[in-house]
Amino acid sequence: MRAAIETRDLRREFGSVTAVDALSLEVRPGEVFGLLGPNGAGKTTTIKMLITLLPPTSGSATVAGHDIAHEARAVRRSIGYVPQLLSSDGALSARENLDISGHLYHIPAPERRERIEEALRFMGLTDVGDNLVRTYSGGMVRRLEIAQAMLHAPPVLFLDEPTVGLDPTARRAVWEHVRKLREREGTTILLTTHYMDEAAELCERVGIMHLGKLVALGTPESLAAEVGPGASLDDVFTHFTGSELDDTTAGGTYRDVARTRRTARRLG
Amino acid sequence: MTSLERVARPVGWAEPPSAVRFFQDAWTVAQGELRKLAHDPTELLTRAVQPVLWLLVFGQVLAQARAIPTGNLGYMDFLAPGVLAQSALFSAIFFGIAVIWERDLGVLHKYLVSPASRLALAPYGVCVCSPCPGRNSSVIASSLFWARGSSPWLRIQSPNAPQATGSW
Repeated sequence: MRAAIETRDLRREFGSVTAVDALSLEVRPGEVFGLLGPNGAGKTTTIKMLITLLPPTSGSATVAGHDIAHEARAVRRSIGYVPQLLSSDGALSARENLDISGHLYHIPAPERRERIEEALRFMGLTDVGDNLVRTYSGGMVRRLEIAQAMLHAPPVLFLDEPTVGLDPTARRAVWEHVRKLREREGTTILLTTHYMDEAAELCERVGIMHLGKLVALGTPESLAAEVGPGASLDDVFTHFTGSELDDTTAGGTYRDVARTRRTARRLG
Repeated sequence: MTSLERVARPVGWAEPPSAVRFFQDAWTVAQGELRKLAHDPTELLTRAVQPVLWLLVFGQVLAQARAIPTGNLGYMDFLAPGVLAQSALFSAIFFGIAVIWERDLGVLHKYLVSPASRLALAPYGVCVCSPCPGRNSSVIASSLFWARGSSPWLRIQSPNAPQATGSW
């Protein structure tokens, strides 16, 4: 069976720091796969390599059957990416944001207009489609960002912490849309998250990363069973990353915190 | 359709030839910037404050004071290209910093992940980070000069040409 995403000994070093260490992973077509881990575990670095923004130091990977190093353009055509940082332009309306995405993916005009209206309808943004994005709530912004990433109907979608900074209601709405999207389009989704309930709720399989290495892989249930009877995914997380007592790395660096809070503030 | 077929399925639309794509993508990015300006034209005015201050206030005062020897060239003509260059440079610096400060970094990532021509994304840099007509005050600065009936560009080409030093 051909994997939607496959990595072989993928490795990335920043100077003397190894951010991702010999990562071998296979995501099946149509699967929602969650990459979990504390801050600095290498989740975002992994995604950046898979979406061709960062060349790996060694190892290789294919996304939708295309090699990330040698077929970067083909990879870019087949993926959608929702960054952790705010990626919709607040000074433009939702329609204009979608229009830019449509143009950048070279969708022909009649089909582009059709898809934009369809995307707005799907995300429940039709009525506010002409309002400036900076007047939106955080949940609406995230939905718009996902719509932008899905406009060209890519077979693989990357979501980097899709619900960071959102309140519980907005988070549920985002989950709901991710699930619907997956059902309707059969998209393979790779998402990263800190939230265990999110992973349990959305993902069929999860991989737990710690210090650049994949330390656990399986369905949420099988991982919980491995740790002990009645264990929650939170227990699983603590078990595999051991970050409970290690206060020097827990919660990320000052830079991580500043960045997360900034994103949270902008999402309102 | 099974999800496996979806992965195997060719994605996207016929890619335009690279030269065409370059102009298309560049226009897309530039258009976005122009639309922003259309939503909020007051930005044009706020950006114009600094060059206007230089030209109309400080420039005027120094021109009257005749403190700087400019030879045959009127002081305002001497000053204009510098103010133009300065406003272009400053906009470049400040908007470049905005990207580094992650204000626009998410948007930049979104552009870079798309199959758009990398070269064409440079206009994102050109528009956001440097003197693109719509976003920059240098246009206003130069129109001030044209309004006055003298072109700063002409003077740059012929700095030594004798001419009547117009007074403001």
